[in-house]
Amino acid sequence: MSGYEVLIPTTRHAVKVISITAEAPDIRSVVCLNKTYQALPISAGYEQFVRRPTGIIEKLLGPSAYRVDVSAPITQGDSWQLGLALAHILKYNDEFVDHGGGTLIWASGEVDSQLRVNSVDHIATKIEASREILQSAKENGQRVIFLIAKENLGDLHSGIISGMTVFGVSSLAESCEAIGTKMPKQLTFPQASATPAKKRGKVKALAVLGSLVGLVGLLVFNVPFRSLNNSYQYEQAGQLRMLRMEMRDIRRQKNWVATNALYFFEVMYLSAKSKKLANAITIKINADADANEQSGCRDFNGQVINAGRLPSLSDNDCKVTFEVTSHADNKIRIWLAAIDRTSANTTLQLLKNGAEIAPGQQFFTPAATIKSANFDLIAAISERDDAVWRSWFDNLVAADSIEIANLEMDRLTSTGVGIFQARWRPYNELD
Amino acid sequence: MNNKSQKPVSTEDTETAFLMILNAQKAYQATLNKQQTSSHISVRQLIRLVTGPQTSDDQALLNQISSNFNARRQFRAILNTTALATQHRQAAAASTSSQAPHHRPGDEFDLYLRASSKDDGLFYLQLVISETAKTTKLSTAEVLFAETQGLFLSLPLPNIIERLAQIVLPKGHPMINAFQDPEAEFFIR
Repeated sequence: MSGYEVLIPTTRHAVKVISITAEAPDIRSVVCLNKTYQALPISAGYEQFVRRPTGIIEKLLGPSAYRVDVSAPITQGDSWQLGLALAHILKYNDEFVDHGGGTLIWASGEVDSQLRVNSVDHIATKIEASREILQSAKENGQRVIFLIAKENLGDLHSGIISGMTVFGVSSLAESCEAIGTKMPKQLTFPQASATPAKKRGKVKALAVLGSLVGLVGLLVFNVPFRSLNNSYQYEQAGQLRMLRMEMRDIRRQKNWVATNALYFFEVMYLSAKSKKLANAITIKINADADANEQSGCRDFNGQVINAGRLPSLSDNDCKVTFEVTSHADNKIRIWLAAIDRTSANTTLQLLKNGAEIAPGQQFFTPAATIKSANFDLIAAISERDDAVWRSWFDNLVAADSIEIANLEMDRLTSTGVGIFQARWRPYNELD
Repeated sequence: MNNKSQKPVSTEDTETAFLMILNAQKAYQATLNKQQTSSHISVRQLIRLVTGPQTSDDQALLNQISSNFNARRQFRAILNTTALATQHRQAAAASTSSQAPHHRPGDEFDLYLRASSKDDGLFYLQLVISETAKTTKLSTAEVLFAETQGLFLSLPLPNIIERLAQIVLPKGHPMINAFQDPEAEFFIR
């Protein structure tokens, strides 16, 4: 058996790549369900993934339109990108087969325009959904290779990968190296039209001069600004994990201009935004009812919590709700948690609640009983979708060491998420 | 004389016979009503078909319209008034081409039909909005209608991106036949 088969896992089933056909350039690339002539919803995304200037497949392999037939539907997401990119490369190298291959590649990851492989969600679920086909491949003596982003290595379920090879990769080139195929070199595309012969010499000289000027301009202006533009676009799209990776890559480039540009971007934009958002909410305590009919709780009803320290609370248990008001310029998403840190070893979560509120709007958390003990209130505020930063906030709330808490705080604030924190300590500690 | 013919008829027999006649009449009436109901297509149904969201019953209703002269006339009038753009029948030259046409030019949109390189019977039908047309308005089109040989057809359109929408069709699809019929007319809405 020789050749490679490619599996693209989804959360419902594993999808096999059946065939790849280069189409005329006028055609828009399409992913079809095999034998049904049904174009899948990811076709529009696939077209962008293929065609220049956004797409990488044309840059790598030449043709600008393809039809891919797959065995089952892929309805959404971008995690198919790694599998399809590898299928294209294998096809280009004459190593792709739709059945009877010696190696089965299970690949899930996003591939960006720099050919980096980025992490995706639901890896464990996808493995579970592929279980049958993987088991069958193993029994048929096929070599099974898992290819995922390095960041996803922690998501692998230990049971399913026994006897199978796993690679955590950070680029498409690394992926090719891992499976043992040749990574094609990126093609160059001519920009200008043909020039009359008489003017060629002059044009050539001008072109050399222009190239030199352009090169200097590229080094001085374009590199940092392109990187910054990417960072800015990631922040605007709420792709905060990508933003952190982009910023890390800029630092690694050790380009003086780029590093300094990034510094200003972080300080003037992200950090300033984080601080502004942290100050864009007011949190008020509402203590309408005394838990266990004890008095004293109403004394702090309506008190406004300032960042840093909570108002003095009663020593008794008090049932309270928090009223959060937004003063931000735009709609914001807030997650708020109340934590009891009485025990040095464990963190007791009293309350965690989130909402999306418009400027001037309020939301009320469910009631929580607050004890006279070590008690923290933490809120994270962002204008962006919480798909990424919510997990950082959850980690911050559950952090059992100051190091972990600081790490999560850094992730949040360095990507422009505001953090509101207030602590209450019993009177004896205040004295 | 035949004694049997003179046997008196009982009241019960008369009632039974009468009931049988009534049942037969009811059954006949019911059949008649059913035919009348199924052939009637309300204007509201016609408008819903043109302007409303696509449903799985649409083609069945379009077939019904195609077989009903009045409904066809009304439906055509509704399409003409509500369509975002229309592509009228092609010039005679188009129909005399030796090869099957792959381009239908129109004032506001062009249609192209291209076979997949895999040569397995898959075709790409592309709708391209003309550069002179009001792109913003036409880019909101959701359905492609065709009238060919007295039949109405419809297909949901994917999002029109950069003035182009592409539909994948199998060989022999009625819309391909409509494309190849120079007398056919296309509408988008």
